[in-house]
Amino acid sequence: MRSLVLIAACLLGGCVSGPNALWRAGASRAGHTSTPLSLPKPLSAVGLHYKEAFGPFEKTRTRRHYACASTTVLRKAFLLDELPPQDPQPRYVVLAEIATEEFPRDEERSRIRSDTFELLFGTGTEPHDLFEVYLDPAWRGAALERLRSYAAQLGADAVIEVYATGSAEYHMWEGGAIGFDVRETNSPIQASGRLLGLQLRDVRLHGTAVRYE
Amino acid sequence: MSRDRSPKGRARTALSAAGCALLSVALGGCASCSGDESFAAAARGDLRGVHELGELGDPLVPPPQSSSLRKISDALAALKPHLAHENPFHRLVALESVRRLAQRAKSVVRSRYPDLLDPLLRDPDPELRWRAAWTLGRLELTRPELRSATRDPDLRVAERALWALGEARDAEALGELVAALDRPEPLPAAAAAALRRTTGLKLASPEAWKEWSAKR
Repeated sequence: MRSLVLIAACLLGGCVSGPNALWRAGASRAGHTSTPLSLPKPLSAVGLHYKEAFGPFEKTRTRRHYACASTTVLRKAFLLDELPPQDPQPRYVVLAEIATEEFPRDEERSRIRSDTFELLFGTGTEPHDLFEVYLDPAWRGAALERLRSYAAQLGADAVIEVYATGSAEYHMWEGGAIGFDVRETNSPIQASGRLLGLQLRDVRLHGTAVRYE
Repeated sequence: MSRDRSPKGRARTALSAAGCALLSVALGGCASCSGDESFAAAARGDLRGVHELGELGDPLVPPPQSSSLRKISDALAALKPHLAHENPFHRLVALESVRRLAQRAKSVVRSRYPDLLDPLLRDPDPELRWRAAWTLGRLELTRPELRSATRDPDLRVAERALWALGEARDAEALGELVAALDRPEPLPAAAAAALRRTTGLKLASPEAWKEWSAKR
C-alpha cells in the first residue's frame, strides 16, 4: 500500500513538475537548500550534459506578465541540437537550477510569423505559435561557457539537462476573449485578437547544477 | 440621527460595508499597479527589482488597473546609478535591463541617454563590454567608444562592436572596420559584413574589402 502511495505521489509530482526555468540569470536553490555548496571550481572541471527530450508533462511554453501586464513575455523551450557524446552520469545531488543572461538570437532563423491569434476550445493559433527564436550558432559556445561559469561558482561537477528558451514579448492586445482575466489571451473557451508591439527577444540557456556523489 | 436596528436595516448596513471593503480593495489594486514596487526594490539595491525595471512596457493604452503606470524614461533614469555599481554582476543585471528597455523605446535612449553605455564599453569585465556593444547595435546608435571597442583584446567585444557599427551604418568608422580585416577570426567576417551594410557595396570576402580599401 505504501509503495502504491509513493508511486502515486511520484506520478503526481511528475505531472506538476516541468522545466522550472528561471526568468532571469543566476541560480535558484529553491528546493535544494539542504545540499551544502562547495568551493568554486575551475571552468574546465565542469561537465555539460544536454537535455535529450522534454517529458510529456513538461511545460515548454510559458508566459509571464510584468509591470501591470505592460509587458508580457512569451517563452518557448527548445533542445540544443548537435548533441555531444553523452557519458553515463554518476549519481548526483542537485545544487541549483541555473540560467544565463540572454544571448543573441539567430537572425536568419528567428522570425515573427504573424501577430494574430485565434483559439476556440484550446485549438487554433495561440500567441506562442506566432514566433520562433533560435540561438545564434556563433554565440552558442559563449552561452554554454556562461552556464558553466555559474555552475563553477557553486562548486558543481556538471550542468545537466541543458536546454534553451527563446522568447518574444508584446505590450497590449486587441480582440476578444471569454474568460475571467482580461489580460489573458489563452482562454479555454474562445480568444482571438492581435498582439500589439510583438517583438522577438533573445535566448537563454538553462540547466541543473549538480555534484557527483 | 437614529439607526435602523431591524434585521433588514442590519443586512443593508452589512451589504454597504462589504461594498465599501470591495471598493477599497479594488482602488488599492489600482493604486498599487504602477510598477512602483519594482522601482522601490531597485532603489534598495534588490537585483529582482533591477531586473524587473527592464520589463516595463510602454503600451499606447495603459493596461487595466494601471492608471499611473511609470514610464520607460523613469526606468532608465532609475537604472543609471546601477550601471556604475561596484559589483560587476549588479552592473550586468542593470545593463541587461537597459538593453531590453532600449529595444522597446529606441528613440528615448537615442535622444535622452545617448552616452549611457559609454562607461560600460570601458568596463574591466568583457562580459559587460560585449553586451554594451550589443545594446548599441540593437539601438543602431554609434559612439566614439564603440569605434575604440573594435580594437578590444577580447574577440567577443570586438566582434560585437564591428557588428554594432554596421547596424548603425557609421560611415566615420570605415577606418576601424578596414583595420579589423587583419585581425583573427571571426573579426574579418564581421568587419566585411559591417562594411557591406555601411557602404552598400556587395563585396563578399575580407580580401575583396582589403583591395577596395587599398584603392581608396
